[in-house]
Amino acid sequence: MGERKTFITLDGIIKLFPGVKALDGVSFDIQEGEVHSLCGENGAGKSTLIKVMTGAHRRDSGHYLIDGNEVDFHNTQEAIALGVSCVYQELSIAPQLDVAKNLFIGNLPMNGPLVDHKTLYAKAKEILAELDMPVSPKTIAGELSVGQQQMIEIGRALTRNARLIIMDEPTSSLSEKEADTLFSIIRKLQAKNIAIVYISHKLDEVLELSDRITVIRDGKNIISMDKADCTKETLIAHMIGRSLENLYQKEPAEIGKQVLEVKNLTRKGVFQDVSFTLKAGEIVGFFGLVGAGRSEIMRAIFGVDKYQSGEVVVDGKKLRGGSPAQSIAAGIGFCTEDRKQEGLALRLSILLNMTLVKLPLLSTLGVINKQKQREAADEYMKSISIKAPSVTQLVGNLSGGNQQKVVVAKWLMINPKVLIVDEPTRGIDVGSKSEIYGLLSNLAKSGMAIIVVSSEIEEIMGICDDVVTICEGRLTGRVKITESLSRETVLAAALGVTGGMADTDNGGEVG
Amino acid sequence: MIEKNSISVAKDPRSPLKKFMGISGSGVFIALIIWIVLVCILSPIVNPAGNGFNVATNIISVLKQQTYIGIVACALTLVIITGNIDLSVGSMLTLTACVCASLVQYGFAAAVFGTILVGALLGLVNGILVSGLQLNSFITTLGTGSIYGSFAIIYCSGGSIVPPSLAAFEFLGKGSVGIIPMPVIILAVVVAIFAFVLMKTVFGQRLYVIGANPVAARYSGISARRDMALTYVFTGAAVGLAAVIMVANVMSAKPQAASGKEMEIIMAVVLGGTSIMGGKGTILGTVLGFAFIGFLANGSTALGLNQYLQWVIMGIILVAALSADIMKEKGVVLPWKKSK
Repeated sequence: MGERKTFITLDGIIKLFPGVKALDGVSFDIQEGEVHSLCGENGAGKSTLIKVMTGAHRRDSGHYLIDGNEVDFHNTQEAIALGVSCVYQELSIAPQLDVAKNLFIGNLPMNGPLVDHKTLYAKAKEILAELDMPVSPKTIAGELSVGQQQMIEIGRALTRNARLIIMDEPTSSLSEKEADTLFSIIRKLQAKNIAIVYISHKLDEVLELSDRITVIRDGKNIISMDKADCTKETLIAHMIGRSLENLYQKEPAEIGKQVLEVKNLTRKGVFQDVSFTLKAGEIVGFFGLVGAGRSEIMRAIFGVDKYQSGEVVVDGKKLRGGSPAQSIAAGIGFCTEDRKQEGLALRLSILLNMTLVKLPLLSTLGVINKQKQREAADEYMKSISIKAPSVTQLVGNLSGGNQQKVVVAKWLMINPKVLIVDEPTRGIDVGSKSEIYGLLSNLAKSGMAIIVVSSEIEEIMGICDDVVTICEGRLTGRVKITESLSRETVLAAALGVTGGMADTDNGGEVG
Repeated sequence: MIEKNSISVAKDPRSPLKKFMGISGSGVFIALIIWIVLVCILSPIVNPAGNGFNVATNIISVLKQQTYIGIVACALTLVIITGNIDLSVGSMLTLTACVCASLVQYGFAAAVFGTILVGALLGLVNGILVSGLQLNSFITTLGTGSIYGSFAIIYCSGGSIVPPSLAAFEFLGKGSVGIIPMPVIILAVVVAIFAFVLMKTVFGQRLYVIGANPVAARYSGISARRDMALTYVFTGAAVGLAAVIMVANVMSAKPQAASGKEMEIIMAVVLGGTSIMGGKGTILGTVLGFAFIGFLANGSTALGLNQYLQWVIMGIILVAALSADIMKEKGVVLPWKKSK
């Protein structure tokens, strides 16, 4: 292909958020017409990096050069004007409008003050031909398949004369056939000298498509490699190779009787045939990549989502399904992944958030015993050291770590038999992380059965007794965590690499 | 995007004034005081022949005037806290007043409890549509309001209904205990009941969570639909009670009796600091809200202001209160407060 011209150079990019260094000196370059993949675990800083490149975030320091000239974007429009476009994971199609208008949204060809419909549809036809899409520009976008809608997004970048198209997990919601179409389009774009930054958890795709691959970890670029020098194993090793600090404080707990049994749970198209058991005192980690169905399985067990078949049995009692209230009554607590959306009402007090689930037990005939409520909250403020001036403080004013503790306290108050914690340490500082790990360990010692859902492999290896891997909606193995278990084995099972983990016979069957 | 709220709080760094302003209803409280002081100073100047503006006697008369609005506004506060709205309260008040006037002939109990029951049923219809069918509350109650209003006109066949006199019934509207009129006593009881429900009961506290974050409410095992439907039933019942007092006071009901009252009622709630986005609000704020609207009308009369000018002032204050509310929610920083 010959020597390519460098299009974009990033040098020492730093991006700070309160309490987090999201990007810590990232440097790499993108050449015209190359497919450059970004790999890294969740939270490694890929999304922040994209946002800096597209102008959604401003960098705090470092150099960002386009064609050798320093740029400083204040918004995404400025980046688009210089040829940097992005197709996000969440599509931004206006489903009521037709294909042509979606392609030229915000950029409609005008004839004086009026939209020039003739040019619009003619140009749209050209773009569609370029994308090999056999649809009319007058088709309503909402009637297209997800794959076709994604093509429209790519087409939109073309209408803006993009020189670089960033694709964030583009195949996560595509069928295999649609993905193949996408790959051939990527090849065509490449031939037109358009560069692609490709982000995907699916390493096979990455290896198939890329010219070069850059691995990001902890906000730093670890290595940039040519595809020829790269195997799946080396990629994985670079992605996870961080040192384990003394962050995890797991003490052995006494394993008691079985408290939770999930049998052949299925929600069509989301997860299939999920079976596992959980005993008192056990901490079991559920590991899988984003989109593997981890949270969806937990939501179904808790009753927020419905499932088509299978059953959930808590302490011998079969749940009806689809009712969080019933699951709570049966003894399941659920600390959700997204504490701001699902876990807390940020505009309300710590007191109300924390006692919300227990409130019926703190009241007589529906009238709250304010003193009891206050005492209960104060007790947990102290016992799990939530740092706030008083329980009347609004939860929204707390730090992420303290917010997370409020969510945990909310469930601890009802003393559940099974506690599900989904991504318990996402976005919180190391100190709070360590405290939460210690807390989970103590709860297990007191006989609680705990499920930890996480995409951080160290976290699971650090605090769990067993790890269950999930890939594409199926459980792919369950093993006891020992010194000899390698992270590569677990990650390979979660990535669905052939072989997977051999089930060890300590912990019940896996579907 | 991430960790917008991750600033650690060691102690509340706000000044006492800012803390006070953070309490819902504080804005209208200050406005109320300023307005009363203004009227007290200006009314002897405008009208030298009069006796000036006597705050004490005016409080009673303002509260009496505001009884209907006040009772309904208290119940509506619950609806708005869950993030919904009820625009049908004005028409519902008219319709239940007409029903009440025609029930008086069947005796005290029929007139009072029958009307409250009819109100509760009309509220239930709203509740089922909004929470059962999950329709948008603004549009739904705009629609039911139109229906209820038309029913009132059909029911009265255009004229007005004059009930036969019934002493016990009339006492509710015209009577007084000592110097305090019956409507004001009933209003006080209603205020106390709703304040208790909102602050002290599990149901009341749940409403805040439903309004502030319905998803979190669901993940905490709360059935938001049932609670939301109940707030509409309570509002309907409160409308029924307001209708009883209204009819007992004037001993007639006509289809225009309470048209447009929904605006005053919603204004009272919103002025009192209840957030139209849900999750925030108090009954005390609502009390201050309807007291302010009452004093605005009352004081304007004392100052000889044109009635339409009052509505202009009220409109300006409402828009100001709403924008302040929304800016606070969205964290909009005013240009002159931006740090460099």
